[in-house]
Amino acid sequence: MSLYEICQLIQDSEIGTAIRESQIVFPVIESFHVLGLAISAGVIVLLDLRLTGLGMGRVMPAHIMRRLKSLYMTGFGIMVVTGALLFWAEAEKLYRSPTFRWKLVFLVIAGLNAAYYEVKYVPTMDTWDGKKELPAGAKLAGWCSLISWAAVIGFGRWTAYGLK
Amino acid sequence: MNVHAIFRWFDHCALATLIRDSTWAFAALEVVHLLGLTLLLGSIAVLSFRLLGRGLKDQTVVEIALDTSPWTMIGLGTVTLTGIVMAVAEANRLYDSEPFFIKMVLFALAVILTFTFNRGLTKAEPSAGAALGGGIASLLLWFGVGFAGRAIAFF
Repeated sequence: MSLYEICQLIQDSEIGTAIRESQIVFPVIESFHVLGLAISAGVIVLLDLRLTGLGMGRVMPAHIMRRLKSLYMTGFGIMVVTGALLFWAEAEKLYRSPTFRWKLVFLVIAGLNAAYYEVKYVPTMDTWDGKKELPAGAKLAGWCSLISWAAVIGFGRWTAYGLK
Repeated sequence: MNVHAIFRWFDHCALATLIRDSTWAFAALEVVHLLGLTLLLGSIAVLSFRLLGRGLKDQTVVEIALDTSPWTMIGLGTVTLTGIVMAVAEANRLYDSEPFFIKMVLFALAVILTFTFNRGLTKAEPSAGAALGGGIASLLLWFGVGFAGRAIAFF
């Protein structure tokens, strides 16, 4: 069975069809998807702005990461669960969507970048005192995150717009 | 000239036709609108959380308000500009849209709160009661705008 056929089966499943055809369930799930995104990506973007030196200069990166962890993890959780439900309802259409593939590519880049930052910089993050420049690699990771999340959001919105 | 006539005129103006006839203009506006919303709601959420005594507790409310307000303003400017252009392009449909009306009422209230209460936070620490009330009101209003906005597409 090909990946395309699996996507067809998922979309045609009872639950997938029920979500897709519901006048209220689909919009509610999509709304939560966008607002989960606004919380998680919104906080991550503020961290990125701090890392790149564009803003949030009064707060240490370690504070943004640790103190706001529950906030952006909650947003991220909402986004993942609602995203899975939306995929359930439209798997076959999404398989055929080029913009959805780009979204996944940038999601993977954002994930790898976050994992790299976690391993490389989170252990020493507390020693940054805010007076000196941040490590160049951390700054780069901030830019990478900023660009890849913007792309995820952009391609995500475009996907919903052009889905047939 | 009544309100409906103004909406109808918007619907027929050159900008509206241009956007409706383009295959990508509206989608591009939606994308930028959503990027602005992320910045706006993210910065509002962080400040509101601080007001509720959560999140960035190592800094004062004033410090967090000063740090987040430029991003709230950039986000607000972005959603407002793209929002106006999209509304003009869809004016006729929006005139009858209940979610759009609710969104605009909530938006007006949220903007007033942002330019009065939030602006004040960059100057002086709020009292405990004001912080609690302002934090809850800010979260409810701004996320309400987001929910109502998403509903326009469906109802």
